[in-house]
Amino acid sequence: MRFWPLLLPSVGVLLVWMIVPLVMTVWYSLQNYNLQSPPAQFGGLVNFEYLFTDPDIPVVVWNTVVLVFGPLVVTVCLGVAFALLYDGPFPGRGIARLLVITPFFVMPTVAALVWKNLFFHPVWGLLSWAEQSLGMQPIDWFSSHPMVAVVIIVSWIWTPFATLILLTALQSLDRDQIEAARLDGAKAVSRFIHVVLPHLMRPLSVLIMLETIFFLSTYAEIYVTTMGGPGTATTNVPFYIFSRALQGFDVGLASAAGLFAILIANVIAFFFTKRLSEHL
Amino acid sequence: MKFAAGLKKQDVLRTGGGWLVAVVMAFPVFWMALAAFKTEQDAAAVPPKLFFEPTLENFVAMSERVAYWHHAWNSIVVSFSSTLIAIALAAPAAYVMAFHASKLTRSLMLWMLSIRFMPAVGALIPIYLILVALDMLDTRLALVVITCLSNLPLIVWMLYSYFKEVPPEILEAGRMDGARPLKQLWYLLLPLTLPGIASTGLLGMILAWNEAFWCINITATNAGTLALAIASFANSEGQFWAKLSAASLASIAPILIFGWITQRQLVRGLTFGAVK
Amino acid sequence: MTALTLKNIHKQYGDVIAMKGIDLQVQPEEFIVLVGPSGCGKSTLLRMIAGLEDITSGEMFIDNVRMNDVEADARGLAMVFQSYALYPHMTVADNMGFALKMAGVPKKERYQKVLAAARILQLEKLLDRTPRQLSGGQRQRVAIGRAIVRRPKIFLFDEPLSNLDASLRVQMRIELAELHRKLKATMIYVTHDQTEAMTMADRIVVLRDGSIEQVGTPLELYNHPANTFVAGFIGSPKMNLVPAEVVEQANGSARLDLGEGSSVTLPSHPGLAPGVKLTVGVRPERFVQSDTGSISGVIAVVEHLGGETLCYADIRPGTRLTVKLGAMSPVKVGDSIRLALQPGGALLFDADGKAMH
Repeated sequence: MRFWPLLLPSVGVLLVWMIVPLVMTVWYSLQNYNLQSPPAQFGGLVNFEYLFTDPDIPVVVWNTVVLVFGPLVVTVCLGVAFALLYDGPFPGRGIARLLVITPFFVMPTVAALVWKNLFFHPVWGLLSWAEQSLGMQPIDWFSSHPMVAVVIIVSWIWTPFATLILLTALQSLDRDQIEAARLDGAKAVSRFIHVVLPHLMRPLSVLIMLETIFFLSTYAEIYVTTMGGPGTATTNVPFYIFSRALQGFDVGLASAAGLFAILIANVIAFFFTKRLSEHL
Repeated sequence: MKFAAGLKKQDVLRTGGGWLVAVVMAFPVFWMALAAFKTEQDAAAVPPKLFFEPTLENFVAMSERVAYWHHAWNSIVVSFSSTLIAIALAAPAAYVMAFHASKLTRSLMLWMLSIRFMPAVGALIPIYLILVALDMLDTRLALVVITCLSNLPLIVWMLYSYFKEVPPEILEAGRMDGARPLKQLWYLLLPLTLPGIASTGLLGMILAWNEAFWCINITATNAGTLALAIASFANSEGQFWAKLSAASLASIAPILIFGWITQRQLVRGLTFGAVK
Repeated sequence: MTALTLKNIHKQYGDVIAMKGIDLQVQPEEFIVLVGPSGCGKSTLLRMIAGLEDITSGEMFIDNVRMNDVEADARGLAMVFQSYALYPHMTVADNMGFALKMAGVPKKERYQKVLAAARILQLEKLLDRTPRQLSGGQRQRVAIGRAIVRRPKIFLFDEPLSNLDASLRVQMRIELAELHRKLKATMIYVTHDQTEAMTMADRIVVLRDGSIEQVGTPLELYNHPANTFVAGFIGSPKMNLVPAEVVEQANGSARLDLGEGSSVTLPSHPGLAPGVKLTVGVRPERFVQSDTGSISGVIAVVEHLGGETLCYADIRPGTRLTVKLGAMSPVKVGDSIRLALQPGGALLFDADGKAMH
């Protein structure tokens, strides 16, 4: 294998990047280590015990699940719809397409702030103005429906991603199949179900796996809007770890939680890379 | 069913729908861009004002409240250097994987990709503690290194996919002409894949620029990028909303342009080629 | 001293044996052609010589120096690829000068050498063009020019003519042969086209399924093929290979039955005892139309080529002979025909397909 000097820089660097944090996380998860009262003392499985008994945990896990499935469902449905819409030509399609994908390139912090102040804000937000015009009381979204608000923000950012992927996949669809179906008398809906959807199955599974991995790490949007609150209403696993570690200074507990995050991500990544290996 | 000459109902629906969706999706950005040119009073007005007298005062005052230029510079430096370093590290590896593939290189590629999927939060504590120990919190160097490592797998992948498009005989001809691997890379491969490398660079810069997680957690006023600068406004009152909009607009504008240019490469890159 | 020596070369990919037992010696200034059907390993062998593929076992010597572990970029060989593999982003001059650049030759000297090679191939006017602006034939010349500039120990050609149209191919064949004479260089040439092999080679190496079937000059292979495979591969139209059985042996001759009344009588030798089954090989041009001939058949197809006539005669169901007749032959489809053999026109192959002497 005479090419190892060429491979070494990137492989070596990534190896360190992967192993050092992992080893340290495992180490610290077994320690009683609070940054405010060092030093660390061996605590055995204390952190894991605490993790399982922390009353916040079920909420955190549930929030994580909601924050994954919510945007997933929205982005996939909208993504399919938008992709179908943009699959055929219409005047100004190029520009319209640029506009549609814009949200994805906006910094997540900016995106969250825009929504927080421009839309959801109970006093100045557009939504509050709309609600008042309809005769309703303005809703303080981040107090009463924080999860919905965050899901909306994440969905807004990621729908373009889904749209782009599905649109690319649609454009590789063989037109002849659709023509044949049309000649066979299939209506639009039926054509969609029997010709288009099967073709989209593979890109959809790729999309879903990718988005699941990314949504599991939702962080910036929460930090900027609700800081995990009110209470723990919008705390997901990453935020839990952050709050325990950098706010509560309990490194041991956060490491234990971190291990779980890594574990779950590994499971999903395993399936994804298996799928990918077919393409290499 | 035809409405007008040559205009089918389906086309009208598609045009209408397509534009409606585009407007709705881009509206928040548009609205923010609008606010950037309003006075604070106008920005806070209820009901919201669509028409107003535009002003540039927010852009001028940006630096005071947000230290815009300082953080913008950090963003530029971090995005640029982390991407450049990543490409330099990735190119030789991508070369080997593309032209001297073996079971080992395939496994390496898959391993690299799986690292990409690890939640950043899993490394947060160790990295934080290491930086504290090395007294490197809030340094640009730390951010450059971490951003580079985070994006490295993706960059290796993208370069690999572009390298694979070059017919291997060309490099073999180079070999016969006496060129060792690094020379093949420099004289033959890079010139032929320059567009692909540029796209990879752009994508890398977009991801680095928008990177918020590490930025928020390990940097502050000294090395913070624009992502952090904006985030530190999280609890700001509405009085500064117009200025914030201006700063935000100035922060995202370059990336929006990059993104528009590279949208196709984006799909290829982020789905790791699984979708063509 | 040989230019190239291959000793017991084996090539294996995992469990699959691609080449086995390759022994070959190439003399300086020889034009060797490696020929065989697709998948026979000729390209693999060439690439092993070039260094683009590893040798699993066995030894390779160039100018008596062991080359197994020497990198492709250090062997001093030049290769012309089937797809030419020109560097798309460089001019013709830069393409041709690249190897010299890699060797550190200064610019002026590089240009002189490139110009000299370009003159040999009439490429002077194209030196500033890029490959995109060249025709297929021109690109091929540039690929050859790139090889010439290097003054390699051995030229390697990997099916260089297969991407050209028929008339260009014929022209290039002649030019390559002349190039060989002019440069006095050792050349190893791979092709699947036996015509190219016959016309250009000093010696031909016939390969099948990773092994050498026979090595020899074109005429040796044509007149004395070592087995039925070589016999059927070399020569166009193909040699007729007919299963036969010895039915009689007496007075110094043996009669071989070809079925349904056709037979041939040949000088006998010990291997021709009655009952022996073998294959008789006859080239189409070795038949003679004769009313006393011992082979009889019915004509199924007639092809008038102008300078000659080919007819295909069925001597029995399943056995069709290709027969070359004179230019104005009056035969028609459906005619009966009686054929005899020219003396020495028959080659005999035993039940395993090996030539009998």
